[in-house]
Amino acid sequence: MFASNPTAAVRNRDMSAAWRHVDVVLCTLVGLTSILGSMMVYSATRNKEASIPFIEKHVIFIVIGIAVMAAVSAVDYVKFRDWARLLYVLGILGLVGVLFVGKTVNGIKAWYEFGPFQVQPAEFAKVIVIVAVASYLGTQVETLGLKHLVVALTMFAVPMGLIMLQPDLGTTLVFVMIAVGMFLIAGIPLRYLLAITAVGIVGIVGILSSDTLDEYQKDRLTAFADPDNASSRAVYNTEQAQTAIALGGLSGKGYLKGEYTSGGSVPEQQTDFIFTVPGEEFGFIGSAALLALLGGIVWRVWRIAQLARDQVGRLICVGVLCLLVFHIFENVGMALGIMPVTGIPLPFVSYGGSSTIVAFAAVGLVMNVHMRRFS
Amino acid sequence: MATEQNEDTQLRLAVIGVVCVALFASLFVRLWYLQAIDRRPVEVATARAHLRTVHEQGPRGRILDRNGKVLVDNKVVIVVGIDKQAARKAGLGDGDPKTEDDKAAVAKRKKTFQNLAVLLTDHELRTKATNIERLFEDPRYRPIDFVPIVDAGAAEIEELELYLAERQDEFPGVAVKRRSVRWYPYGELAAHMLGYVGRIIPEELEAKQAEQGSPGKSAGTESKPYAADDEIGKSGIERSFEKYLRGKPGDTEIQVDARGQYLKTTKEAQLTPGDDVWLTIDINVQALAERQLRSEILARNPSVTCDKTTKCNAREGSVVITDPSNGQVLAMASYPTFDPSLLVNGISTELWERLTSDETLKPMLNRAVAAVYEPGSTFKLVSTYAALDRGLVRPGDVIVDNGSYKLDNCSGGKCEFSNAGKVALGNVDLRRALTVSSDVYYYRIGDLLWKGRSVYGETPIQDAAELFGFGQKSGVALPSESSGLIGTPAWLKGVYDKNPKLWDHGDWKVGDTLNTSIGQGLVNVTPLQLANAYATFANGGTRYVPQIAVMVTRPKDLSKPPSDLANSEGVELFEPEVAEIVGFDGVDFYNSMYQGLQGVTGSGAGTAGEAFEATPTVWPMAGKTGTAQVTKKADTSVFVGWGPANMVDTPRFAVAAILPEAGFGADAAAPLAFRILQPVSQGAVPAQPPVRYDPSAASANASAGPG
Repeated sequence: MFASNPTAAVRNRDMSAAWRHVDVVLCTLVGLTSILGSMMVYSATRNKEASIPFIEKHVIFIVIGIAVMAAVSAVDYVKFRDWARLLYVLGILGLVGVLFVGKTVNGIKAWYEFGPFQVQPAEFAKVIVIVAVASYLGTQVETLGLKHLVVALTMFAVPMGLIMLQPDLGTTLVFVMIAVGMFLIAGIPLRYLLAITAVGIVGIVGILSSDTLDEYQKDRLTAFADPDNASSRAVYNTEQAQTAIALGGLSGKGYLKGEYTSGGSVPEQQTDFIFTVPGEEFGFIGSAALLALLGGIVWRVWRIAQLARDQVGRLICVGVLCLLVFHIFENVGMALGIMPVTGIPLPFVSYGGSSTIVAFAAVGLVMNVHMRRFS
Repeated sequence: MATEQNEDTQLRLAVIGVVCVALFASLFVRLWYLQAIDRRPVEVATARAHLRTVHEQGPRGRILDRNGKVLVDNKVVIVVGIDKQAARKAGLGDGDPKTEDDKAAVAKRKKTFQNLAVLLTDHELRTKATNIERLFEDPRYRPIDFVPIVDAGAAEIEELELYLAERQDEFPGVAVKRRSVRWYPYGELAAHMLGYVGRIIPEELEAKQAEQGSPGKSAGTESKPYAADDEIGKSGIERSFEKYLRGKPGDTEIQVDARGQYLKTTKEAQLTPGDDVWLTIDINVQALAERQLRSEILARNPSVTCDKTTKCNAREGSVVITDPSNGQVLAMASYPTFDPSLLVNGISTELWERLTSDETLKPMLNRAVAAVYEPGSTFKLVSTYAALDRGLVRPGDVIVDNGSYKLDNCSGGKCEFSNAGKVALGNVDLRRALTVSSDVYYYRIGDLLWKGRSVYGETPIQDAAELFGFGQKSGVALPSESSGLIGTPAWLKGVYDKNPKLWDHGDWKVGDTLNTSIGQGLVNVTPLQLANAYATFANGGTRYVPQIAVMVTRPKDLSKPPSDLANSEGVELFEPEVAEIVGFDGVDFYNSMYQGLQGVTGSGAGTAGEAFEATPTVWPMAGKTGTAQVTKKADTSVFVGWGPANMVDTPRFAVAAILPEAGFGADAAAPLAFRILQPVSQGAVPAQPPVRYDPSAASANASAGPG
């Protein structure tokens, strides 16, 4: 299965063979989504004042993202196994460091600041953990048991715990979903999975009823279920978002013509509530198309998981799949009022350096798996 | 094994796939639901998020004369002006001299204003571009304000309104508003009394909100809450009857989009017009009084010699006519005057200065109540009363007036006090002293009262003055009333101690009492106080609070004339209010004074006899002239009197006229009073038609709130 002892010549030929197996459909889908996303970011931010316009920064992020995607897919993911530990340790150090020197935005201490740019280590931790866990679980020769589960759980738990300290609940939940998906595919016996699910549910109830979360976080998480009882601020955000989307109707108000969008009526519109822009300006037709593009990306990732040559590749794909699906479902669902409000970006659409670059990197990993499915 | 595991993995992958499909499907369903099916909650949410309430004022009530003639009405005007906010957005700058606008903005502004001036002039609203520029830069307007430039009746410039609405690009920042403004059918007539309305200032707002509440927080169902930028009565009746005149405001609810643009009106404000105030004024008498006052003042200009040495320089004056039987004010004229319609859309700084500066003699000052003058010999009413009341003299006592009065044992200061022109008047008793105005008679009274102050008290004249209403506010329902001044030894000491430069001595001297006895020196009265004092004497001693309003009514239908009383319900009826009863101890006491004052007009020897003969009234008049000397100026001419003065008929008119720098009382004020009262007594007061006619005024109340 592994290309052992390849000669230089063989490797060169294999490399060129790998490039020939690039998933063109996935690239196209990601490209289209990014273009649409940039339009959304422009619409949401053109009236906002900034030293460097949001859209310019966003395009720079996309360019960097594409470069990162190319770089990540260039090296056979087998190599990542060797680097996994180092990457993991670096990722954890990044998360520890941000708790000390990070910049606080909206009560969350999650950003390193470099001039006009901010780096969110938790975003990078997502792909790092996916690679690390996939490398660990995918290379075990024996049947997976409790020991592997405990090790993998710990690999998830450490970054999750650090992110909870920021405290960024949404990102923590992304890790939960990635873990569920990867454990399921890794072949961990169902009884263990059921057991940790039970523990998880008890844990969530426990957290909600304890003082671990700030009041506003609880509010945001429960507001969608009980709008009459939640604080007005939390209700206001979702109501404004739903109103904007509903105003779009079937065909939308037209690009740059949405009054909620240009009037700045929706909070955090370029990131958390970006979906309200196509909702209002392109209506059902446009926003369903965007959703379809995102669905197409997910479908390609799922398909690549099926085609993967090995368990590591499959686990990487499933990790990325869960990451993308949770981001999409949470971000869009929150704008539509069926999910609680947590700050999670929409991949390839939302404004944001770290999340954009990480989304490209994640797809780069999947491309990597696709390109090498025959090697 | 491998295949089995592979199959298991594929199965698990399929499960994940199904979950993904389910999640995406739920997003699509929800999206479809929000955008295509259930749009009702959205409309509710939109409405709630974008409702604005706009505070609107109810139209003000009208001010009517005693016969129901409308003196102050409302009318709808179209105002063309500059919306400063829109102008700034359109790149015309903000016109703030502190932050100079850039050249491009100034150039664009000049061009726009030039075009606007041409357009307005074409529509017969003569305007200069420089005027618009000046208004635009007037610091009185805040950066968010609307700067009115011209206004005209709604009917006249409706076409212009449409024209401008269609050409917003050519006239950036130019806005057209409809607003209900005060309308004065009689022009300048009674301007001082009526007063004007203007934008509420923060101090007024605070006080009014404490009393009436603010929009959304009214202080009761009958209250009329105030908001910033509301109108409020600033002077005159508009101010003192604000609580009746103010319309009941309401809130209009409008829907705006996310950019704040108007969408539609969801709730119309319930505006209730203010109540109508009926004044005691008869506009015909008022017009007559103002006309005669003005011509008398213009006639006694510097070309006329007031006496041998001094030129007349009459520039101001006042006439007050009241009804002695109940204290109602029938006319109140003050000169110079102003046109209240100039103040309708706010006042330019320049105009405000012109209306309030000393150089122009403060045309907005209501001299009848807010200016004080030395009353001269007309004050002898009070001195006579004091002397009789304290038993100092008896009416029949005769003294010899040889032209001057010498103080006994006088050392230092002024020792000899003379009649005007040192005329020797011979034998005088009380009646004759009043009729011929013998100062010597009163100097003697003053001297004796001061000498016998251990018996008569230090202030017998001042006490009598207080009884007749001097030295205190009359209580008339007009703002800015002056108390006047009746000096006493205690008062003088107090003032001197505080500021020794104000007066040359601090200890009251006999000379001060002498001066006081003939209404000079430390005696200052308002024309209304003077008229009211003689009205009090005329009716036998009942001093009323001068009454300016008869009643307040609430009109049912504003399109009907207010004189149709079936069309309105009463809100308040003002009864005459007695302030003081002045007692006259003995018939002879009162009668001798009455006869003395009758003689002033009724006999050839009386000081106003000649003037009265020239313009007699149908019934006899009584009264007193006064000539107050003012340092380095021509004399103040004063006359006050009443009629009918035959001791049989009820006196119906008391009149006071005061004209500074117009000469002898007999020369200016007395003839003026008779020229007014002659037609009044004959029932021949010319009817005064409204000087301005506006077809929209009659229905303005019903149709318009403020713009």
